[in-house]
Amino acid sequence: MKYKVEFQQRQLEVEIHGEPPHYELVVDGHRTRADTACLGDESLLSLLLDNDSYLAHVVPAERNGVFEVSIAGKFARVQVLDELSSMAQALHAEQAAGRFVLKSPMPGLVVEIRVQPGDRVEAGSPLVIMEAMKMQNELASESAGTVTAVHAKVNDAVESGTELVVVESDTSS
Amino acid sequence: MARATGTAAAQEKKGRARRAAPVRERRQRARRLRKVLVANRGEIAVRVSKALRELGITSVAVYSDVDRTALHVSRADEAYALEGNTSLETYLRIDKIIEIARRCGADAIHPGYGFLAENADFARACRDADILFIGPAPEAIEGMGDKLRARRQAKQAGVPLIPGSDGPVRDARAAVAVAASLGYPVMLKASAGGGGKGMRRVEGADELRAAFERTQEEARKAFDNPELFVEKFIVDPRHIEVQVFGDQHGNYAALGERECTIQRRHQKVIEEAPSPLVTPELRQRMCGTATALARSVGYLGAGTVEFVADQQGRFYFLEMNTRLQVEHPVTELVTGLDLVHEQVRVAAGEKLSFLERLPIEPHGWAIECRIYAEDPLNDFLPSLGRIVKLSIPYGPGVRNDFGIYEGYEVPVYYDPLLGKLAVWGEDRAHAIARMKRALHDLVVEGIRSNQAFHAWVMDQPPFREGRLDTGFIERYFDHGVLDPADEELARFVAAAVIRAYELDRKPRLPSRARGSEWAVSGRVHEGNV
Repeated sequence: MKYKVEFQQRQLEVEIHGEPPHYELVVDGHRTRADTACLGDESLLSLLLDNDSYLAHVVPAERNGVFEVSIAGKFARVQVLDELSSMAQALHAEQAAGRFVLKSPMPGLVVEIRVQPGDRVEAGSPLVIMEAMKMQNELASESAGTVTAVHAKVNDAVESGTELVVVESDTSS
Repeated sequence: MARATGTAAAQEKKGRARRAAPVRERRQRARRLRKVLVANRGEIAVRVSKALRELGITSVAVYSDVDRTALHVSRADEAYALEGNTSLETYLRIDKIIEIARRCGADAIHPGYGFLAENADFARACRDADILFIGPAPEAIEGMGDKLRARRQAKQAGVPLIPGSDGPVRDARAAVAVAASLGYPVMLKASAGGGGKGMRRVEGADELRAAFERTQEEARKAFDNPELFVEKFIVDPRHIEVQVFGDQHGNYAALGERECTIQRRHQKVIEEAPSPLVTPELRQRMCGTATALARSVGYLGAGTVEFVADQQGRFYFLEMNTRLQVEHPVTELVTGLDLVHEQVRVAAGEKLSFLERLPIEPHGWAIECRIYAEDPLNDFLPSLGRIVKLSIPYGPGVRNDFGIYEGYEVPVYYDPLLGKLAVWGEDRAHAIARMKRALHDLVVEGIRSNQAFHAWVMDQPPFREGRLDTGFIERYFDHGVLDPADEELARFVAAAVIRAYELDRKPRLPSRARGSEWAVSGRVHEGNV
């Protein structure tokens, strides 16, 4: 998997492969073997990078894709962006423009569509039910407004990022 | 540490042997001090109640509403609510504390440091309530609390003073006249100031004229006393203090010095004992001077005479703190004495336990780092929240005095001191190496602390060489030094990417990129959630 990492005003391309607890990291072309173990809880990570030992405390920050990392008392925020995160950011941008576009966050099957064009929805109203990895999930509108388009049908198999429903925000609310 | 402990053990043995004879005296103490109320919170309340437990005395905690879950409450034998949260409605309330002491039948009150520790009214209220105050007499507290009175007292006792106005100056003109005779730079100080508040360095006559009224106004607001005095400014000063003790039998003694030069905004951050500046000859003079001051006021219990010293070892009286200091552990580590035990004993009327060992030369070297809940990357502002991970260092030569635990919520109302990390080494280099190791072992997560700042100081050549002055942090520190260095980048990136990858691979929807709408997995047919 490839990530775009932003850290202290630097941008890095990082590739990661492997199965827990052994990974291989490629940071800007430089390869590192990583061996990991959680110490008691998932935020406390013992990290062996080419056998150099570090104890890292890692927690996802409130902002998407940002992790708060501290090692030996030093602290940094590291942004790790994959395709989904970029998409989510794009989504927020659209939302800000007065339009919420519901996109499939990952490949899956559309099992139910709860709205049709012209419906009034509130922020949090369910729009589509999808099934993926044997779990059904409800996708909700992030803004209040009117449904202007429905791009999917029941039983559609969709890719991640597929536009499913468009909601035009009502600015009065 | 083994050697320091050995010293302590030997001392303890000697102490026992000596005390074995006057059985009556021991019984008397046991009868007088069965129960002691600790009028404080945080690490010092925990520290004092540990000593009380060791002495076989019942310890009583008091607590504010938010402090119900504080460590000092669960470590004490008894605890009573003060009701309220701000310091003013709780730990500063003389009436409430005396009332609790009466209600629970406490024989004595230990004030710790801060809060009411140097409040003469409190000491007097204890006396009036027939409760022993573990500290000096209210008159001594008052005498030393007023800077000008303290200066007069010091002068009488032959303690060198920084050349200055020798009393408050009437106005800006008088201040300028004094300054001219002293030579610039000079320091403009509030008579009632302290802890770095109410003082200003002035470089010339024009600046002095401009600063005078402003400083006066600040002093009036902060201390309700606009009096100012002028004194010579010591260039590249060091802050060195001497631990003194007095008992009720006319014995006064000094336990050597501590160097507290590493300060940020006039607040101590790192302390050590002994001082790299102090030779045995200088120590003898400083200790002699400090002891003379203690004797001149008939001082009882633990006190600290603070000096400012220049780089040549000339030292001048700064002030006397009439209480146990935050940094007392470094003295304990190099002397093998327990200063809280000593305070309790002399308050109860016993003699100082270490008279036969005088003069006490420091054994080895001790350093203490104050661990504050503050964010060095955000201008050292207090960092509040829950401590989600805590691992306190231990092992050879390491001592900790902490008032926190894993899961503890750092409250907004009080001092941000989480605790003190102290180490002992055979010499200074050994102690620094140990402190670096201990800081490496320390894990405090959930809030930000100044841990990395301490590690940075330990690595600075001027610090390692003992070339210290109070401007150290201002001169050398900038926030960038706490950011991960280039060679540390990879580990931060690896930690974050591995965590991101593991979260992304988890067989649940969605990724961390989107949260809320997927939280209803599996419950979709039950309707809206």
